[in-house]
Amino acid sequence: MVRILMLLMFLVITIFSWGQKQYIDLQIEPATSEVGQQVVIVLRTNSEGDMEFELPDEFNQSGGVQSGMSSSINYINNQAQVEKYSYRKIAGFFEKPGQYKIGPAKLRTPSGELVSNAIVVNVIKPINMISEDPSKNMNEPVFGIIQQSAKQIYEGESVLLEAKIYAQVDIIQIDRFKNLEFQGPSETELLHTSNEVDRDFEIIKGKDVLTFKAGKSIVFPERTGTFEISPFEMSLYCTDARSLYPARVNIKSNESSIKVIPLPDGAPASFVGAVGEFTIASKGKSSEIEQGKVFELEVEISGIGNTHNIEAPKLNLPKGLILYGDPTVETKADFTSRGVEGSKIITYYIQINRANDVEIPSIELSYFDPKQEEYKTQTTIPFLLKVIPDENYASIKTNKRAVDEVDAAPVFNGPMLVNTRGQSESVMGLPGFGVITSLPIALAIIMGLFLKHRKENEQEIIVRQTTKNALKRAKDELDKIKEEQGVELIGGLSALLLTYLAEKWNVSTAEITRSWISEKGEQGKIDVPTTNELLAVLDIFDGARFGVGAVHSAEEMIARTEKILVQIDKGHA
Amino acid sequence: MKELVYITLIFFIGHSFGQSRFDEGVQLLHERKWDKALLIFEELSDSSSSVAVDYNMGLCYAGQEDLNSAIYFFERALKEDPSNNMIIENVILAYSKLYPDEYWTHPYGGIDRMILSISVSGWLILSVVFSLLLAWIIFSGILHADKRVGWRLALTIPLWVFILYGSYTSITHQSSEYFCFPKQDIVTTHLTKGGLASEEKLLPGKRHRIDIASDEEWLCIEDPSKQLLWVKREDVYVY
Repeated sequence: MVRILMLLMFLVITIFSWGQKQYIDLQIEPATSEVGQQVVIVLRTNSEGDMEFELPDEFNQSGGVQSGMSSSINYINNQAQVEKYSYRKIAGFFEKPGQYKIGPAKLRTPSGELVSNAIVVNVIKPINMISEDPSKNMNEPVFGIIQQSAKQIYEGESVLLEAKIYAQVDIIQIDRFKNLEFQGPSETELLHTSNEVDRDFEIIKGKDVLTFKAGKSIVFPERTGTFEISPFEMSLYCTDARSLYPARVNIKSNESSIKVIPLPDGAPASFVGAVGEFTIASKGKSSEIEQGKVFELEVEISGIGNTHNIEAPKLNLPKGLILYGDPTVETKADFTSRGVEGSKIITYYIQINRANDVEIPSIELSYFDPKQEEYKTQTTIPFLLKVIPDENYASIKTNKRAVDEVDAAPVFNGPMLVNTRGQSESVMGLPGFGVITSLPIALAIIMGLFLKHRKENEQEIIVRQTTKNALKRAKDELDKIKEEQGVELIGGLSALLLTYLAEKWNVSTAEITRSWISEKGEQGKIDVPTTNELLAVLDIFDGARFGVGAVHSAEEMIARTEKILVQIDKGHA
Repeated sequence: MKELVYITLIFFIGHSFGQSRFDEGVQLLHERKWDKALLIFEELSDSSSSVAVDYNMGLCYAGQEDLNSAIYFFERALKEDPSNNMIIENVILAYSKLYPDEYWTHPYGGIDRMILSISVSGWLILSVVFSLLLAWIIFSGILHADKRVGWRLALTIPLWVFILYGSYTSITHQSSEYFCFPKQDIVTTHLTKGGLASEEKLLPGKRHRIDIASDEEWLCIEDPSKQLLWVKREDVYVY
């Protein structure tokens, strides 16, 4: 049963291993080291093949390449997955300060070439350490002295502590190392592993002395005041000329102390507890966003110092923008002999409640530079966020207003980024404006009156022509009646008069009545005597037609009719 | 033709130079180097003033805590763009810092702001269009004696008059001087032009309306009690 289970497990592991993607991975610890400090390079791969990997000339390899097989268990979706890999470990140190690119490593496998990542190692000069004078202890064959990077530091600044052992005899083995301790509230990070020892030879008082350094650690004190550093202890086995066996020596170093002083007054409002040297940059996750949505603003603070302890800078948001929850913080930093090197990425979640584009203002970060002993300020570059308006979005202006918006001190809006022109002065000025607005109206009046006048003239000409024609026809008809002087004389003269009047005023003969004639008389179109004469003549014609009234001669009637025609024509003219 | 090319070239070079100087000024503002930024914007303001230049000069002064000058330059920017909320927010803030218990009031009334929100070109186009429309109505009225002309004129003439007013306001707005601010904390006012000094002092950040009686050397201004006083033009900012 056990055998079957073992076989099944082996099968599962094999299948998982077969199914895993092939890789080669490069890891270096630490990424920032001092000259002479041990650096460990590890190459991991789950494949086999010919490895091509070169190291910089400045890298001094200590010992051979350590290689082997190992496995790890990864949990993916709550399921354990066994990963088998081979590794190669190279230890050494750099001889000169600088930046060294290591990798990529290449692995030629039957299925192709695998390429690893590359890492830049920052090698810095060793930090100057302060210690008591070792020459005072030369009466001891082996003695230890605490080394520290400073005797006095500012609050928030780090101090580097290290144990240094001086030996005037050959040391065979180190045993029971108890490192020094900072006697106060602090955050301490060991930079060297306990089995890592830096060896060197120094000449003190003309004697060649073997030195060891161990237990290098970086300490961030958490309070101000003077704090003691307790001694480190160590057991050493050294050669004893008087014995066949090595002698065991217990050493206890000196004690030391450090003074942590508070930061000077006058910290700017944007000081967030950063001590060291930093830069700040910001970027949005997108350049445009819908109204009402949450915008992610990433602020990256990079540098050396107490990077891990920096608080998130306060944002001064324009109106209509509110912080949505707490920002998330991701720290990508390593403890090195200079402090914490790397960056802190703070992501703010900002709800956009306004409908128009908005400038994300610059963010200010003030930090204390302990080297220059002054506060410095860095700012980010503001950028424009395009907002897509959403008509359905109801702006949150009620009780849900974020505390940040209410409490935030008002700040001036940022600068205008585009040199847009406002209202420009009119090129033409007031006189030109007067001309362009009044000219069409003036032209319309002049042209209208002119055309109207012309039209009236045309109508008058037509009327005159019509009148002239009517008179001519009437006179022709009258001449004809004069010649004939027949029975139809009265009827002919009556018809002649009515036709003349109808043609002259462009109406039908049926419309010519006594009242119509009187109206024309009242209107002045026919003078009063002529009107009366016309009405009298028409009465005579009616009397003659029905045999009533006085008898008038034909000549008289023709003469009176002709006179009426002439009088009407004159009157109109 | 050659001359035209040269003129165009000079124009573009000049414009690009102006824009790059402007960007430089904006960058200095971001870096909070108020003095250097102010020098650049002053230089740009001398050559060709704009809303952005005046506004950014206001920011420079606000950065230097000279709130009186900041208010003046913000309001000068408002003269060109009276409805710009970005400017209004800043001038309200500057004023509230200077006078925490008082409210800033907009220098232009609602109708003026509405009129000035349309560009001069916009008003001119409207004027021409409505003048032509009115001309057509008058022309057709004269020619055809249409009874509807009366209604048409009744509808068009008030609009036309309003457009003429808008155009006039818009055209004369930039060249007119409306308000002034003291340049220093203490500015002596006079009861008459060049006459006896008045006890009234001009307060920083407080605008004073300029009366039409002003001349090139002396400004006639209204104090808060509407009393007319005289100040030397060189002692005040004018816009």
